[in-house]
Amino acid sequence: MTRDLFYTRVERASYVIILASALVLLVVWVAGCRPAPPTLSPEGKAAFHATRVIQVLDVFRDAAIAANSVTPPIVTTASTREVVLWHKTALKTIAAVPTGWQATVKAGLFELTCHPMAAPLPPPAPPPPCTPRLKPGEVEKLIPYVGLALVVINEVQ
Amino acid sequence: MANEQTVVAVTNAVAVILPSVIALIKTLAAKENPGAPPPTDAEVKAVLASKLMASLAVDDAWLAANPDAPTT
Repeated sequence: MTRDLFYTRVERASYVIILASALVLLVVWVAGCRPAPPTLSPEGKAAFHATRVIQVLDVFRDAAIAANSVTPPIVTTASTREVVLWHKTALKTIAAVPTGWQATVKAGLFELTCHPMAAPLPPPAPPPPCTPRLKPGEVEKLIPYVGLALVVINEVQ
Repeated sequence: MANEQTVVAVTNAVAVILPSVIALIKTLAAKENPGAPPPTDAEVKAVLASKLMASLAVDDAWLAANPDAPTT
């Protein structure tokens, strides 16, 4: 009985996390999808959009680190390391190819999470078989942040 | 025992939400002034370079603080 009560409360706490995350993600998404100023050159617009994408990638990375830092960890250190390493690679790709980084960043995100929006052929095509590098239970906890990143990436393509 | 676990669960929830709330506040605070002149290419590129450096520094700091984590 006590055990059931505990799990009920944990479930409620999970709902609070999901709702709060959805609210935050909505606001960050609105901010991230603002159009670039029309006075900018194509290179300037690419830099503007890249800055927005880095902000949402940071939110994803920071969520993983925060989830790993609590006791007991919600996301394992191994998975957090995967996220941080992917994030670092993504940023280096954006810096190296400011106008053509999207496919590479999305491919890395697909390998990491198997999110269908990151699949090489987006829906309605069926996503290819995929085993995420993150553990399934941990992918679910980070999926709102992955979705946010993918929405902003798709918006700036 | 159950109460302690609940407290831990709620603490964890707050710890996860808090960074997102901070990110939200930062995003709102970073809203451009409508009367300000539009940014130039050089300014936008400087902001991008600054963001890149700061973000990579966070990655490196976390990786340096967790050197023994398995990679698989």
